This record gives sequence, C-alpha cells and structure tokens, in this order.
Amino acid sequence: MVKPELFKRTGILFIPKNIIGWLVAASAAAYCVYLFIDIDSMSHSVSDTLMNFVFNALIVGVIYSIIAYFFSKEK
Amino acid sequence: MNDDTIENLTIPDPGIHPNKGFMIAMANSKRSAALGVWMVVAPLFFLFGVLMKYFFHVDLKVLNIMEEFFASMDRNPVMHWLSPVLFMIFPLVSVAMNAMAMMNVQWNAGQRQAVVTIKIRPVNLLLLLVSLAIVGVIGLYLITENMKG
Repeated sequence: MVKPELFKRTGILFIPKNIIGWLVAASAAAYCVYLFIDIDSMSHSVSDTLMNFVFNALIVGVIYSIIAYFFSKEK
Repeated sequence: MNDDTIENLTIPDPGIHPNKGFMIAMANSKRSAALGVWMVVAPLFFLFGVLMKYFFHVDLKVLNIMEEFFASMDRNPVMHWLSPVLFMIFPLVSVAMNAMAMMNVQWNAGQRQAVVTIKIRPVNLLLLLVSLAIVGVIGLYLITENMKG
C-alpha cells in the first residue's frame, strides 16, 4: 500500500501538501482556538491564560507533528 | 603510437569496497531531528519552569499548570497514559531516532558481518544529548520520589 504524502517538512515544521493535510492542520488549529477560549473563560489573569494555553498548544503540536512525520516522505 | 594514455593506466586496488553489500541509513536525519524537537518540547517546558522557580526564584506557575493538567488527565480513564508518554517514552523515542539518524549499517553477507558507522551530525547529536539529559533528570526524579515513600 502506497503511503500518501500529506505533508512536507520545512525546518521543524510540517507543512500540509494536499487537502487532507490541510484538513488535519485546520482541525489542530481549530482545537487550539477552542482550547484558548475554554482556558480564557476559566483563568484569572492574562499570564494564567497564556501559560496554560502554551502548554496545551505544545501538546497539540506534538500530536500534529507525529501524524505529519508518518505522512511525509524522506528526501 | 604510445599506449601509455590515461585510459590504459592500471588503477591500484586498495581492497576497500564501500558499495559491496549494502549500506542502510537507519533513519532520515533531518526528519528525525524535526520530530525529535517536538518530542522533547513538553519536558523542556517543565524543566524550564523548574529552573525558573528554584534557581531564579521566578514562579511562572508552570509547575501548578502541569500539575493541574496531569491531575485532570489521571482522572480521565482514557488519557491517564499521557504523562508517562510525554515525559519518558517520547524522550526515549527521540534518543533512539536521533541515534539511528547518525548510524549507517553496512551488511556484508559473505562474511556475515555488520559494520556500524556513526556519522557526526551536530543537530542530531545535540538532540540526542538533550533527550538523554531529560530521560536522566526525570528518571532520577522518579526514582527518588518513589524511594521517599
């Protein structure tokens, strides 16, 4: 079975290459926006919001990068 | 006509045949480095919080945030595996991936011999050392925490 190439690597980032890749990236971005709104509604200060959001966004980034790693080709 | 042209020169055989057998690059170095960065980013964030709190006495609340996050994950029966994966498994995977990215294995079928060569790639080496340091620090922390109780 041929593995589809959905992402291409640029530095440490994996950029979507086709529509499925863009869907995955858009889902991750949408989840980050949801996380930000959710965290902001519960936090008491700007720094509280940002520190919480950064950690959660990093975890989303890790999961996105693992998916992208398996669906990008070696040069 | 003189026969001593460059085409007719005999080439000495040094006895080294690098293309005999096959050489396997075990992992792509740049892709491994890219994923390696992402694998260690969460433990580095935690260690950054520890460093700021205990060495520079600046409490960014990173530790409280992570404690709350992992407590909420532990309460969730589906996600309770996340903290060991983020803090131990991913750095170990990063160690393995970056080590493999620097290694080439040449298999000589005739002599049943594998020759492993290590190519020094600075980015992969740096990530390997950072990942090893994270595994060491968090491993020691886990050992001392469990010995206390």
